[in-house]
Formats: sequence, structure tokens, C-alpha cells
Amino acid sequence: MDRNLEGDTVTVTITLPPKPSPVPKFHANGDQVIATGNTFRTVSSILDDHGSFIGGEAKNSGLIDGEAASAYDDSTKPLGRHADAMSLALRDVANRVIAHGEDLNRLIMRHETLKGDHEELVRDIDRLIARTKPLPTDQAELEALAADCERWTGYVNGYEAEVRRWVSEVEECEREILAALRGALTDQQVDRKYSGVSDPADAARESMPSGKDPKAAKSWWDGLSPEEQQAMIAAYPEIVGNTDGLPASVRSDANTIALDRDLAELGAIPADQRTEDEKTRFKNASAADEARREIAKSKDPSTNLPYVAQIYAYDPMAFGGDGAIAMAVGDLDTARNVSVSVPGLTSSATSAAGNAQDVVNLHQAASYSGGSSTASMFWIGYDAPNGSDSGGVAGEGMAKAGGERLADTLDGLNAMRSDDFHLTAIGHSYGSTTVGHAMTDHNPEVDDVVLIGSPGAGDGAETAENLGVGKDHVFVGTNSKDAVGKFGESGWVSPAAVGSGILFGPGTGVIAQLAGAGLGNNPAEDDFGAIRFQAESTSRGSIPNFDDHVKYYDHDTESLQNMAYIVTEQYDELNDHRAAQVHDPWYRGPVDPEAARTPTSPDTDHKP
Amino acid sequence: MTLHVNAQQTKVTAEGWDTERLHLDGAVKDLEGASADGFSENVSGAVDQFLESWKGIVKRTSQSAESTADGLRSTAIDILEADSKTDGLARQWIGILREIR
Repeated sequence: MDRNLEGDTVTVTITLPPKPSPVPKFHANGDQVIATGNTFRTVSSILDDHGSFIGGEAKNSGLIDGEAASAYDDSTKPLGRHADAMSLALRDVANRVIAHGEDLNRLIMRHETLKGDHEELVRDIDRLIARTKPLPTDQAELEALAADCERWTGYVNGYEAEVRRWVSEVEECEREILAALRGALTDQQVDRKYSGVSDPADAARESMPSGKDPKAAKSWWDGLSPEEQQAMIAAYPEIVGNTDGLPASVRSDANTIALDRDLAELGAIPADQRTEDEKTRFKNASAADEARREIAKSKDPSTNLPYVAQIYAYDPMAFGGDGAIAMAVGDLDTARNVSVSVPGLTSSATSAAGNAQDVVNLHQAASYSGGSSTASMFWIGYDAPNGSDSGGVAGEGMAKAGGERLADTLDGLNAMRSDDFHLTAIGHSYGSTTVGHAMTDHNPEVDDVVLIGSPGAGDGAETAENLGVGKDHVFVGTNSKDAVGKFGESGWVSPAAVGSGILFGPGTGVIAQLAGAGLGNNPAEDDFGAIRFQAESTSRGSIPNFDDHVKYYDHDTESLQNMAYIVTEQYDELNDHRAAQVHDPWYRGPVDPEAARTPTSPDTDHKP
Repeated sequence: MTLHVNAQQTKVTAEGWDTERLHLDGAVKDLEGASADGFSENVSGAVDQFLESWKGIVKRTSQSAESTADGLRSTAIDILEADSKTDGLARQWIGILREIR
């Protein structure tokens, strides 16, 4: 488009930019692809177990007759070799499929960006065309238009180059995954490529340090090649999934395999044919699965996407079949704030779903409170009083043992992170006694300690200072009508024994009293010296009761809001919600000033 | 007389193979639940083919486990039947060595 300006010899040439070509259509979903890859990993793990069975237990056939025994050996050896080869082949494909899913997610994001770029360029070029109708008569305007057209031509060329690069990456990505899939399609291909090949997991396993030093475990893990790491996750999910010091994302991958494998294997056995161990394993696996699904039902307010559980521990046969499960919402590897919630009485793997809801609530409250990134984990990692050992609630034995395990877990979190992050240990009920013992007996590196509904902080904690984080970082939430919150008070009859009697019958209470029941000092008392925060409920009872013992994590409660402030280091906010401490004058029973205050209901979930 | 089979051990091992068969059936079920959803159009056909192929591969492995369990039991029973002509204990074990799963 040329224009000769009247009375002038200047010619301005305006070349409109080319119309950008649309981005090619592309439909994919990386998360669904990753889910398929995870299924392949689970099946690979089952095949790996099958190979181990053939190479181990199955060798002893019981056939003594020489000819029959060697016929059995001759027929099973190839089966074992093939099972191992299948496992390796499928693991390889699984890893490639998962990587492909991650690539797809990146390519999809770029596809969306390119689509946006295209729309913007089309709009801009339409505006440039509009500026030519009619062509301006002013030379300066014409020159500006020409310059803009030239600039936008450059933008279009850059966009076209980016589209070509994107298409080429999609093609490359597709070529790679097609080659992986087509290279392991038949038994013959699998045997040719993988039969007799040693599993990289075996050498890696051999080099694993013994003992439970989380720093040594982390260092070992970091020294493995990516191939060895992936092999370890698939071949030894129980070990990788439960080793303190290893990254949470790695543990979660391993525990996902172990959990899905248990669900697949045991779900295939008719219920009436399961052994007692199989029943226990399946029950606890189902409970873990329920907790995982419970977490996925809720949305993260910061992203508006459903939560994905990070499975930090999964050991369905731990503690005589009570099971151990720990799951987090948020990313334990990267979150600025990490909280570990330790439940108490009646906790076992089967209570995982309820605990999952608790940490979802805490995470949501923390997000709405404006805190920086947070990961909240529930930790059923100790043998808590429940079922036949419920009487243990009256003594500290289970809390002492649990405290040691909790300290290992907290040390593990510290070892796996090389950055500075804020760690809060939260103990509810008997879990607060367990937290108390972890802190006084093992001194793990923790920033804040929160004790809620506490029956006592353990015999090592005479005062808040004994917990090792400074009394200004020990926070206590006790509802004035929570019966368990009164167990830590003094008197000639142990309140813990009374509580045992109420919960499990008078006989248990008497036994508990005779056995010296008691779980340490009441951390809500002024003598203890912790910061008590408001934790009343608008639905609290008129007399001490057990319903008020289980409301601390409920949405729209004072306790949840205040825990969210602590977990996210918003101490100033908490200052406005401090509660007066319980005092225990010599001339009468303990007095709780909170009983006279009207409870409030802060909005922790932004729901009407 | 000494039996030519440790019937208790054979029972345990054959049951182990039965359990393996069930575990592998669980794996087949997992593969049946998987799909090519989420893969791009150019890849999804190959994923379907891969899934179909591996369902067959694992199913055959499951069948091998089942036939190994059955074979082990029947071999043991054959041996015990031969022994039972002279030994009462062998006759008892023939009854015990039956498939449960």
C-alpha cells in the first residue's frame, strides 16, 4: 500500500502484517495420561512380586521325587525369568508414559498461550487494517502506521516460529512414546529386551544405608541415578514410601504404588477366601483409599483445583494391624509452612478419612487467612490407644513410644528439606501427649507446638519451656467444656482414670487409677506458661462432655482459625484471640475463665 | 515308609501359586480400567493396542500360575496315590491337597 503525499515527493510504503495461522487443534490431558502410567507402575509392581515369588517361596515345591521335582523346576524357571522381564518392560513404559503426561501438560499450557497469542495478534492486525481505511493524510501518522505494521510483522513471524517449534516438540514427544509402546507389545519383544537383565533397583537397595538416620537416607537417595530412583520406587515401594529423609513426592509415588497394588491384589481375592492378614491389609488399604478420595473431594482455595493427597506414609500392617498412614494436602517438599497433625485416642488406619478432613479444613483456613504456601499432614504413625488397647489412654507408655516415632518423622521432614521452612507440630487429645514426649524426649527441630484438647503434655513437660521451642511458641487450645481437656488437672483421683472409666467402663478406670494414670500437666493452666488461644465452640455443651473434644478442626470455629494463624506464622493476628488461662487456686477446683466468654464463629471456609 | 512328597509344603506352595493367580487377575482388572483417554489422537490407537496386548500377556501369566498350582497338586496327588497303596498317611494327604482358591 503506497501513498504519494500531495506536493511532496516522499513515498511511504505500508505493508500490512500477514494474518497469523491458527494454532493446530490439539486435544490431550496430561493428568489422565499420568494416571494410566501409574496403573502400569502398579501392574509392574505386581509382576515384580510375582517374579520374587517364583524365585523364592515357589522354589520349595515339596516334591521330593527327583524326576517330578526337576520337571517342576524346569517349568517354573522360565516363568520367573519372564515375570521379571515383564516387570522391567512395563516399568520402563510406565515411566515413559508418566514423563509423556508431564510433557503433555507443559505442551498444553503452551498451546493455550499460543491460542491467546493468536487471538491477540488477529485483534491487533484488525486494528492496523482499520487505520488504513481511509489512509491517513498526515506523513507522521503514515510513518507511524508503517512502523507499527513492520513491528507486528515481526510479532507474527515470531509467533509462527513458536508454533512450528511447538508442533515439532509435539511430534517428537509422540514419536518417543509410540516407540516405547511399540517396543514392548509382545511377549517376544519383552523377553528379547529384558530377559536376564538385572534390575537396577537391586544394586540401589544394596547400597542403602542401614539404620534410620534421615540425613544418610537423603544423601543415599541423592546419589542414585534417576533410573535407579525410579527402579527403587517401583520395586521397593514399601521401603521408599516409609523412609524418613526421602522427598515427600518420591514417598508419595511409592506409597501410591503400594496402596494401588494392595487394592488390586486383595480386591481380586473373594472376601470369604481372604486370610486374617489379607483382611487386615485390605481393610487398611481401603481406609487409605477412602482418605485419599476424601481429600480429592475438596478444593484448594489458592488454585480452585481439587486437592491431590501426598501419601507420606503407608504401612497397613504396622502396629499389629492397626496400620500407619500419613497424608498431606499441599506440597511437603516445597511449602513455606508445614504442619503435622497427630491424632489421639481411637486413631488407627481406619480413622484416616476423618483425619484427612481435618487437615483439609486446616489447609483451607490457612489459605483463606492469607498465609503463604502451606502443607498440612495428618500423621497416624504411632500405636495410639484404640480397640483392645484403649486402656493405654490412661498411661503415657504409648505416647512415649509414639513420641519417638514422631520425632523421627519430624527429623525426616527437616532432613529432606534444604531450605528454611516453618514447621508446626499439632497434637490433639492423646496426640498432644505424644507431641509432648517427642519434644521433651527427643528434641526435634520444630518452630511451633500446638496442643489441643490436651489431657496432659506428658511427664517430661513440667512447663511450656520444657518443650524446647520457647514458651512463646507453645500454643494451647482447650474448649472449656471439653472433658478430656480436664484430664491434666490435679486432684486425689486422676482425671485420666475417671475419663478411662467413663469411656471404657468403671473397671478400666479403677485399673488406670491403680496403675498411676495421668498424662502430665494441663497445658492450659497458668502454671504451665504456654499461650492459650480461644477455642470455644458456639455449639458447646453446658457441662464438660466429649462432643466438645472433637470440634477443634471444624470449620468456622475459633480453634481452627487460630491454628491457621499459628501454622502460617501470623502471630499478630493470634494476639487478638488469646484466651485467659485456667487457674487452680488452693481453696477450690480449677477455674476456666473461658467458660464465661461468649464463643464466636469466624468464617474459615468462606461459605455462607 | 518315607513319602515321596512333603505334602504340607506342596499344599502351601500350590496355595501360593493360587494367590499369585488372583493377584495377577487383579492386575488384569487394573489394566481393564485403564484407557487411552488423555493421549493425543496420534497416540491413542497405539495405547489401545498396548493395553489390549498387555491384558493378554498378564492374563496368560495368571493362567500359568493357575496351571502350575493345579499341576503341582496333581503331581503330588499322583505320587501320594502311588504311596497310598502302602501308606495310610498318604491317603489322608490326598484329601487335604485340594484347591481352596
